[in-house]
Amino acid sequence: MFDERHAFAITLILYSLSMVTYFIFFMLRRENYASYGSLLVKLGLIFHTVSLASRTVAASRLPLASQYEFATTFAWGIALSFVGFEWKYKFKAMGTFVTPLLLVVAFYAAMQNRDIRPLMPALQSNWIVLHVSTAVFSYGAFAIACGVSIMYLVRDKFKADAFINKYMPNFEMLDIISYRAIALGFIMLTVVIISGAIWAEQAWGRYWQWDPKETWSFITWIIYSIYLHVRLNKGWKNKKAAWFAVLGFMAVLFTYIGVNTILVGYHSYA
Amino acid sequence: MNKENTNTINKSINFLKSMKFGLIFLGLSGAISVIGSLIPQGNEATFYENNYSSFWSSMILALKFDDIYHAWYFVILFGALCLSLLLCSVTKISGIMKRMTRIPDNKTMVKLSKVDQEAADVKEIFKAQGFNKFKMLQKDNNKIMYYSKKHRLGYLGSWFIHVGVLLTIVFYGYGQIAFFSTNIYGVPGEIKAVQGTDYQVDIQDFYVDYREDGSVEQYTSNVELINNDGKLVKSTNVYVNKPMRHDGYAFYQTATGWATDFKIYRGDELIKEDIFYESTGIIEEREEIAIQFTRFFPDFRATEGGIVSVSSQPNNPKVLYTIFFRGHRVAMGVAEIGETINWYHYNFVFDNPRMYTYLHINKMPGKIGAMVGSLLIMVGLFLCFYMKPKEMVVMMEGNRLVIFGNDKNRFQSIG
Ligand code: HEM
Repeated sequence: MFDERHAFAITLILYSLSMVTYFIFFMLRRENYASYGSLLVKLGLIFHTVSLASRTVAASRLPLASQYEFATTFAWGIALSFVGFEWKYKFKAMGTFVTPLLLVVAFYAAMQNRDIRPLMPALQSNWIVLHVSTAVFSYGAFAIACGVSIMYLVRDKFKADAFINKYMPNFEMLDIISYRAIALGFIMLTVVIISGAIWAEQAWGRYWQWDPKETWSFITWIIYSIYLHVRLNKGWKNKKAAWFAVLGFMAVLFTYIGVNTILVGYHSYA
Repeated sequence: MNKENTNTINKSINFLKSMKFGLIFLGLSGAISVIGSLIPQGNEATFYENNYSSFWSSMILALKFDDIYHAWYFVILFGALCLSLLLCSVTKISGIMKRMTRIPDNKTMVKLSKVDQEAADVKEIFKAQGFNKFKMLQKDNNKIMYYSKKHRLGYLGSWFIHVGVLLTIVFYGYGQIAFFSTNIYGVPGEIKAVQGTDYQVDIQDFYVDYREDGSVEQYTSNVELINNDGKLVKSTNVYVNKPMRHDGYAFYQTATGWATDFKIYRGDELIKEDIFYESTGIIEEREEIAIQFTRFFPDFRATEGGIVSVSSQPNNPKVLYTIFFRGHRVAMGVAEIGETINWYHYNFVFDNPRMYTYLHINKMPGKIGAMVGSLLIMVGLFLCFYMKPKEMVVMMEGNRLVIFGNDKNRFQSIG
């Protein structure tokens, strides 16, 4: 029963239940539900890891090549970062805001073709392993920044609400977490772009040719670099920074999902 | 130049190197990229005419949206960005150096705490904040000041990023202008001149490795690179993802296909003998006939839906050919390997099928420069985010020590 497909199906169920419990926690203000949500995500992460591990064994390579493989690894990265951030900062409401993002990516993965296809020769490169694995962490960090920034905006809207004030960290903390996650994501994104360029040079002889995927990673990079400027130099913190983090993550999602489904390019397999 | 002019020039330079200007241009380059990603690039005019309304297609063509990354305004935009980065980097460096080397001034710092002198050991105070070394200075007013600095390189963070971005753009642009590219293809045993260079490629061998499921594992060309004087320069394998590099040129394993030996006779007289590549034609000038090698079927099978190849292995190889006479297509047929095909008084034979290799060759100068630029960006980002400069000053005031730091958040609470 522990083959990849079953494990992934169980993962999806656990993540969905977790989102539901986190919503119950938040909407009905039942404190203990947050602990259930947290437990469910952790269980989901275990099954998710099993699913990825069995695929790795079956394919004899890391699951980073097809649209499905990248999506499920990406979701795994978000779940892992979430468990890490939750453990470090210990605030319960985070799950309410991060699990929906996790589910978007996980269900997107579920809709993809899951056949294990052998790697075409152009994809057999150590650079692409670096490229894709840093992309997982970069996107994961941006997802956290987005979730935390939405919390910021929600908290700002319901300033007087005692429940929210109790279970959400203060503004300063939210702002700092969002900034740190973006700084980390930005460094990773830079590695993603550079390693991708090196790989493209080795495979095709052009390190940058403005294909839509490259272009959108550039656009995402530009958005976050504007964020860093206004934040570090103009003191744009708080609400404006939070909106920026949400916008940046929209660009991340478009780079990842939109480009593959709407635009065409060389990257259609990744 | 009068004063007013100098003023305007100074003002424009200051604006050009300002962050506001840089960010506007950065934003614009992002916006243009969005357009470029939505409209397919580099197609013929007819493509846009067929796929967009007449209004939009004429707009796209007039505004150069069909090749936006080479449009004059995009180039100017990046030029302005570079100018801005250059001005800002040049004017900033001396200030950064000063900040790195100057002695901290407690007047501009935050007071962290005060401690009794007897109770405190200055060394311990520094150590507790992560400073292993510190210096002592006697100030003009005879006060003693201890100070230490850490992570000084952090001051260079954004400078490295900006110089890195500048280098990357400049070298990329240079590579785009100085770009050279050509192709060769051939079967093992052939020696091919690389057009536009002083080199020839001797194709020693070419093979395709298949996996058990029939998918391709790797394409390998075993080649020798020969220079103008006929000297062997290099002998190596070229794979997908592992180009052969020499003298700035890179040779990429790009494609493959089938070729055969080909002979054509008029009556009994051999009029031409050559290697015939799939999808090409052979025209003999003095004759009125032309043959086209239309398609190769390694594993031929005729089915109801038409003729197909059931695998990529040459189990039942056949050639689909087309005959042209005086420019008109007159016949098509499927030839077996070694079979003599006869058309009026012409006879021809396809023989010895084998795969050819197709190598793409290019030279893009500035790769190293762009690489150095992107490395600088990486280093700069790291310095910027994770090497925040930390400065601490301990002053004696009466019989107490007063401790200053450059930023409250980076110090542990004291006393
Ligand atoms: C293209 C990518 C760019 C990136 C990734 C980038 C990154 C950064 C970062 C991280 C900082 C913050 C330094 C700090 O306060 O610790 C910064 C500062 C700054 N940037 Fe950029 N930058 C870029 C382009 C530009 C451009 C085109 C301009 C236009 C002139 C510019 C002008 C400035 C200025 C004036 C500052 C503040 C002063 C300084 O710390 O040097 N930047 N940049």
